[in-house]
Amino acid sequence: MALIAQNIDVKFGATQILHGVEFNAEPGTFSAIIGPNGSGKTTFLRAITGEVAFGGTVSINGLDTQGTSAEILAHERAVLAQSTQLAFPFNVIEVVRLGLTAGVATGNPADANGLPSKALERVGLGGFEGRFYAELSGGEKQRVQLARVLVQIWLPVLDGRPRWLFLDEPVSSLDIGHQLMVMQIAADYAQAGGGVVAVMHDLNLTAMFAQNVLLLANGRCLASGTPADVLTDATLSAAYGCSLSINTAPTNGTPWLLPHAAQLVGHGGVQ
Amino acid sequence: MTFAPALPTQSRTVRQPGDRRALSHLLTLLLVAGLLLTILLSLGWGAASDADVIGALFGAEDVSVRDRTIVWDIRLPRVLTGVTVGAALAVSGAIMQGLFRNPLADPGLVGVSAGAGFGAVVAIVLGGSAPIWLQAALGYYMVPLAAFFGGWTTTLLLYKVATRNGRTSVATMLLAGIALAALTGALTGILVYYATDDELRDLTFWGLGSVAGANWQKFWAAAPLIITCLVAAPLLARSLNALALGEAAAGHMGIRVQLMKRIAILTVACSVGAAVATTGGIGFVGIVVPHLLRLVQGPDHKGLLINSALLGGVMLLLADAVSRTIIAPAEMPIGIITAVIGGPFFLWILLRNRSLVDF
Repeated sequence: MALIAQNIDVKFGATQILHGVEFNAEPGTFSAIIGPNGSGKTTFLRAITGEVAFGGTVSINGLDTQGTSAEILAHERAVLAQSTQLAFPFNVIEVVRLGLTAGVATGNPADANGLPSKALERVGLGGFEGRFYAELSGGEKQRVQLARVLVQIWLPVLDGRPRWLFLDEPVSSLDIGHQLMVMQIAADYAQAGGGVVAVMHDLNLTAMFAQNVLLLANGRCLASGTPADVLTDATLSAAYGCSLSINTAPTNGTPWLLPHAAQLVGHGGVQ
Repeated sequence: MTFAPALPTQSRTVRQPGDRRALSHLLTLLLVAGLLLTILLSLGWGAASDADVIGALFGAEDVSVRDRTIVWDIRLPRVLTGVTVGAALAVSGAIMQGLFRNPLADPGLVGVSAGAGFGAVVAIVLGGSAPIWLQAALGYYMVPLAAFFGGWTTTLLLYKVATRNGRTSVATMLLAGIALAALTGALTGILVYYATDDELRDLTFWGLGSVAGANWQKFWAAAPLIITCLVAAPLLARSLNALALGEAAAGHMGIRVQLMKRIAILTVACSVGAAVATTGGIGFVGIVVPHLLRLVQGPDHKGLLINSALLGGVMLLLADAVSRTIIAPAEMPIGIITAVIGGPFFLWILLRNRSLVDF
């Protein structure tokens, strides 16, 4: 029971986006995929979730994703996209209820009715049930989508099988309070036995929450392993093209990244 | 690390439509009642009293032969044709809008009806030169089947042209629809040159759209196709709802997207084909009905598809009532009525609810 991605190649036309990326994730852990813009993070997540055609193999809980039907995969994992375009004026609770489409939220279908409201509470949007989705702010929309995704695989472990949350930049449009809230939800999901794989831009949040990090650059795996292995001054500075140093936050001891603005490399820098 | 779970939520005063599922069920009941009432009134229009109509329908002894004939042989096929065609057009509109993820997709506007009309014209004009065994095998189904293939081909072409990576461009869809409608219109025009006088009369009626020519024969040729589609349509509701989030998200939620798209296109082509084969092109039903319902009960396809069928039936019967009374004793083609009522009404909906249709 794990997520195993082997030798992932992705081509868009003549351009090769990913070159033989390898990645493993264990249930019960929060894995982060990091890397600069255009490094192939989102494409890699899309390969894992089957949204793009790819070479290599991806298996989730022992199921080869390329040979498994959408219905069965919907039991094993849910996917939160970077942004979701919703057609038609659905209200918030109707959107979250779409998470019940697969009908596998819990082992007991009778529980399903109450879940959407619970999920909204969980993402801090209790009382938003009847609001029109189109009238929400970007951050609220993102959390509504998270609630929908949570509803789909509400129990982190069902019938002994861990379930997987795939999140593409889940905190990109959120304020710092809600960033922490969403990261905590994902961390709790992993703590309860589920697997979480998230594309992350924020290295500090990655350092705080992830147990497993994959660093991509130019479509290749530059480093992978624990945050202590990957989040080093040298590796990150090389990947992001700027000078960074890792400190320790004085308040709680988590790693804390400090960019050196004066030493920007390859971006023109500060004169 | 400690974490404060309860972040304050902003309290903005906005409209709260609440749970709209109950509303949808209530609307279904009201529409069933409305449809029955409209059918009854349509049967009794002018000549027979309501009591006579009910008597005639249930075989009472004291109803005159004239009334019985009017109700059974003239009005009932016409009314039932109106109901099934209205339902077919409204439901295919709702399905197309869900499939294209766009409230402007309508079989009439994007060329599907034109394609179906072309298929029907081909069958009418060239059907006589088809092999005898084929004519015998197809019988009255030849025109609806040809219309179905015409509608199907156009829908498939339209979808291929307008949709890229699971996203449908409104502009491409409407422009492709115009091109396809122009093309099929031209091909239809060419066939008109080969038509005999009798066939020409049949053809004229396609252009205008009318239920006046309805009889039991035509009704039974189209009804099985339409009813099959109407029964199958609610099965698409779950998938169409999921598709509102996009094809990728629908796939992640366990929908077999390619399969459901094929079924949806087939259903639309089938019902539009059968409808167009029976009455010609009647516009705006497919766009106005689902729109109106979405404003009242929300976009959930579970209630939307059923209620669209009911309201589509009611609307077409009402339009038919207007069409045969407004310049009585002559009849105005029903397509003109639906366009005259539907066009401005649709504009009004758009202007009043820009925020809801603008996304």
